[in-house]
Amino acid sequence: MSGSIKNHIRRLRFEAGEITQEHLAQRAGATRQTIISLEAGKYTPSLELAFRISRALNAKVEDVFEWLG
Amino acid sequence: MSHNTRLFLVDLVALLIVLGLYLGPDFGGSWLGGILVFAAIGATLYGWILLHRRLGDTRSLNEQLSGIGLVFVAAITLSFFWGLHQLGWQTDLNEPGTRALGWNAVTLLIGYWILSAVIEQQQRGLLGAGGEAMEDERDRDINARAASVGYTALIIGVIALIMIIKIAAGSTFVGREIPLFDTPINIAHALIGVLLLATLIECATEVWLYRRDAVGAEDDAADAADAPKVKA
Repeated sequence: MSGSIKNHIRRLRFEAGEITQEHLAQRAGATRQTIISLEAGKYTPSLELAFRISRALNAKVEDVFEWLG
Repeated sequence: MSHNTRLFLVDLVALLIVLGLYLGPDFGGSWLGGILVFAAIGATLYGWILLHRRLGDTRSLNEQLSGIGLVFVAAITLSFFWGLHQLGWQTDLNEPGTRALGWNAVTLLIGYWILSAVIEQQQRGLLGAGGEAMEDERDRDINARAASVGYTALIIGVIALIMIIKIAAGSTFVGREIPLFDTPINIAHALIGVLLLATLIECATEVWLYRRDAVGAEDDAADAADAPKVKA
């Protein structure tokens, strides 16, 4: 499931002022362990969480998540 | 002795007290025994609460609860089946310790469920006030999948038990009658055993699902720890 969707959360975190996983988790309303799993490509978020993460990173959802098809 | 070592020892002693009470003399129906069991479980979980901030660097609260739940349920299950083994897999209400066998297992299991629920609610309030999410969709997904596996195991176990009772009743094995499930107390103990095994499978599934997704978490946690902390 997680193999078809790639994300750029780690890169965007640093581009957005090197915010921590903990801070991003707080902004997105998730746990830090979920952010860790997402960055490791071990978990694919729901559409709602994808939008919340994108908003927390001040980015468009298509810039954060990429469907590899 | 460091603070964490002392907490670990408190935790260990409390666990040993729980197991000692369980494996010890028959205290089924005794108010004092019941209070001691609940106090020991409470002390164990309290020790863990004090440690959980350190564990929180790499594990969510739900993951920590699933880990300690697996240890607790494994200890209770082991004690229960060891008790049954000691009684020769035959339970008679006139035998000392028989009444306490199932009572102790169920009491410990219910005690753990109640206390973990109380602690979860308490921590939800504390962490929620700090802006940190206690659980999210990933936790809920893992909980639901583990519960599904647990319920499936329970249903299979109960069906298997019914089939064994039907097949075993009055049948013989190597010329001897199978007396395993010939009394209500034996059937009750078999049902408790199935419940414990299903709960153990559920806890193990939950821990496995969390660990499966945790590859590389330690590196990222260290990375985050190096970064400046944001105050809530």
